[in-house]
Amino acid sequence: MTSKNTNLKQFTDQEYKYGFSIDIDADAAPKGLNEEIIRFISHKKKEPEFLLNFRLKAFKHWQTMIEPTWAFVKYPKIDFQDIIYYSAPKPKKQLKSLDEVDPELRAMFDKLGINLDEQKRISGVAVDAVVDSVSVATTYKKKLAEVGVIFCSFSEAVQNHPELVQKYLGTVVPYGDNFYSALNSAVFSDGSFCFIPKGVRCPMELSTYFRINAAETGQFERTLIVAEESSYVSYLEGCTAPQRDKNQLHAAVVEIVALDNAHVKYSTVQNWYPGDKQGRGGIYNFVTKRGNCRGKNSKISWTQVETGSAITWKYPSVFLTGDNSVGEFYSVALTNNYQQADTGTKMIHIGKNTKSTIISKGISAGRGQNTYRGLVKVLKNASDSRNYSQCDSLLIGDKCGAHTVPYLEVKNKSAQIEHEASTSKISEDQIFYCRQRGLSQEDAVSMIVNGFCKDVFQNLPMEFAVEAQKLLGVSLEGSVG
Amino acid sequence: MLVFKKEEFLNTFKQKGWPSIKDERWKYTSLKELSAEKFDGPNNTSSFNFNSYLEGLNFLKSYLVFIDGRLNINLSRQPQDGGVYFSSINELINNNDTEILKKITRFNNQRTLNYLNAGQLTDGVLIKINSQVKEPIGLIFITTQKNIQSHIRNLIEVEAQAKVKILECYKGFDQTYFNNILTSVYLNNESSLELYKIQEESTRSYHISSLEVFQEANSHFESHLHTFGGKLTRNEIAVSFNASGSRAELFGLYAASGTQHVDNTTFIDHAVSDCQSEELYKGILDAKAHGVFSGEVLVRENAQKTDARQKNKNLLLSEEAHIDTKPQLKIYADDVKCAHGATIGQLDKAAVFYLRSRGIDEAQANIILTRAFAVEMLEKIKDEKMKEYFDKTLQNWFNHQTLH
Repeated sequence: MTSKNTNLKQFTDQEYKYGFSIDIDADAAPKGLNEEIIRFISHKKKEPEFLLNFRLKAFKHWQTMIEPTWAFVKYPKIDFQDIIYYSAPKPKKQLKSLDEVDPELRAMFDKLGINLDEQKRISGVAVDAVVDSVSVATTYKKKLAEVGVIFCSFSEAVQNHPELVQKYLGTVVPYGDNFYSALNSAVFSDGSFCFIPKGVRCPMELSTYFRINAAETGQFERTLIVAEESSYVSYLEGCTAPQRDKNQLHAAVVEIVALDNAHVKYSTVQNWYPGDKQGRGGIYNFVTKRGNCRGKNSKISWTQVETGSAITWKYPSVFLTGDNSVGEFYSVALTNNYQQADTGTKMIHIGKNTKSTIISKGISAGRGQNTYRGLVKVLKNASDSRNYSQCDSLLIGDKCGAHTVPYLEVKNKSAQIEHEASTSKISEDQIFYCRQRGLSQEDAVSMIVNGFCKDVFQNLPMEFAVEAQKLLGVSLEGSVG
Repeated sequence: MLVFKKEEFLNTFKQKGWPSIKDERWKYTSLKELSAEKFDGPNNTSSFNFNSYLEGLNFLKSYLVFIDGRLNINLSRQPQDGGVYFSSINELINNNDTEILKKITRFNNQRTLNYLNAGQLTDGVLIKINSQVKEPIGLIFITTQKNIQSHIRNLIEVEAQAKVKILECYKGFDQTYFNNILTSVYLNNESSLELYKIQEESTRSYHISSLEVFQEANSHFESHLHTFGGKLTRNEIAVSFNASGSRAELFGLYAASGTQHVDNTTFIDHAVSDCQSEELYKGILDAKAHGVFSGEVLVRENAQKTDARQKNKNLLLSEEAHIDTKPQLKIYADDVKCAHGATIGQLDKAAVFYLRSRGIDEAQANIILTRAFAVEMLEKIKDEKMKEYFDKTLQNWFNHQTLH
């Protein structure tokens, strides 16, 4: 037992690998939130009238809303007036090529292992790097432009394609949807915009790296992905954040629209700063992600690996509006030390013959609390719809918690709905078996955990699958109770 | 001295008010209609002939009959077994039995309907079991009056190593009324209770029941709850394990049609180590019926070696029937085995076709398959006579339905 505890300690002691920060001269708004700040943000970003109105409406609505408390997480009350709502790295001059990117910023990416040149050359992935809310460098734009794919920062989209933004913004997540989406709609600073025209299969995987940089800056990303008829895109989002003592709020909104026969695959590896061993600091990750399978035979899949953040609160959802549409949710959520995660999905079956699959794997270690909360709703006209849900939890240590709160609401008799959940720990027999064959304790745990998550990792794009396995390894190898 | 003050409880209830659907525990069951109804307390009972209501219960050697919420000793067959002690709750209150007053006023104060129950208390029964009682005891509740409310408070105490089977039956004339039942069960070390309940209330009535079970070391609790009646039914069962080595089994069947609403809400508190719980609830929903299942299993920090299983299966027979199910696990210990599952589906078309191809008409085929779905719940009943009786009530339900 002692050796196990030592191992456990050793591994849970691992400091956050990506904890560092660099001074970049930030162009920040004063703390606090009021109409002036919103006008300031909008003005700063030279936004058209409709967007300012959208923000103001959202802000008005937000003021009437109460912070939700139903999630299974505990944290001190957030003072929304104590947050800087806008900060941008000062552009030294208009950037023409990668070489002109702030060298400090380039150095930061190098440390993160996201060397843009490298990325460009080897992986063929276009990277839209978002640092502190403003997009600084975009690559592979040309290649994408050839096939008509628009992939740019949200601000650029507002300038160059306002008609598309106006047409789709807020149609999946309305500004008044929930407290944090309303806040985001009022103050979002930047994000990504992606448009795949009719019949186009996006020639590469799109990837965005988010990173919080300036202290006490809330991040309010806004992502909008539109896939027109018969198009396909795989979108990757990954993040690491520097170590901070003060909690940082991250309230992003992601909207996906899929028209007839379109297929959108959205993958996330989330590794925000989780706070230290005592649970100090760490990111509050309150995200609204939702896709709408608007067209017939359309498909949206969410795959997420959540290992970071002090608090994760997100439910990537799919509205299955079109007939025969498909929604998928694959998730691995890991909580260690004092991390809390309340995550899951919503599958709303509206169209006929719609199908959804939910595979959720929760891993709790240390004093982590991990909740799966999901809703499967079958409306009256959604005949012959089908859902399969599986939620498994793995507990490592006796101070952690794993919770499963599924809601199934079915109003159609031809629906076939199944939900299964189980909770277990890594058994001593399993460890013994592996060790007997020469694996170290930590390799054994890592292998078992990776096996536990296999169903989800299979759905990740190659690059992410590797990164995700590494992340899990770093986060909890060897911790066996 | 402890005095039972109904007014105070009623005032507390008025302050707290009816549970609303904003309360997570009542998310799918609205009491709006019920709270708007006007009910009187029951009058003294007129003399009906209750024989037809008691006929099927002849297999019971002893039973207590409650008419409109009040114990009617003349209609009852008093238990002859020396290990059984019983008394009407009203009598105990009138005698100022302090120990009992303490017990009946000690209830979950989060649950506002408990205050209504205490504030409007009609009657109820205290049953104490001191030995291993072989013959099952019946508690028969019959409502005869229109627009009345009965608030029933029962206490069942099973002493160490004692054992008993109790059957609760609820029936009523076809009219509007409201039954609000609160039952507390205390199971001492190594004791055992099999609690059977058949609810065949009028489909115009409201039936809300709450059962709290407190289990000491190595005790065993088994519940078979079959719901057929009621316009609105809410059955709550909360089991707390106070000491290790105990086992609780909750089995439920609900069959509803018309515009019936049936809610089964369970909560199992694994507060200590080495306890087992198993739940299986099956629902058959026809016409415009609405079924709700909400099961919560809490495994506390030190409740290692817990084995908790929970299942809810539903059969939707018509376009307009619907089900909301919410099986929840909250687990704070690592060395546990916990699983839950929920399914919602319809009759297998291939199976219906198979039967039809053998000359059985569709309606009959539906009944055969639906019955097959329900039979699993009968098979969970070990007591043969009890099983037979439950089978009869199930058959009775089918006889009154034209399945869609």
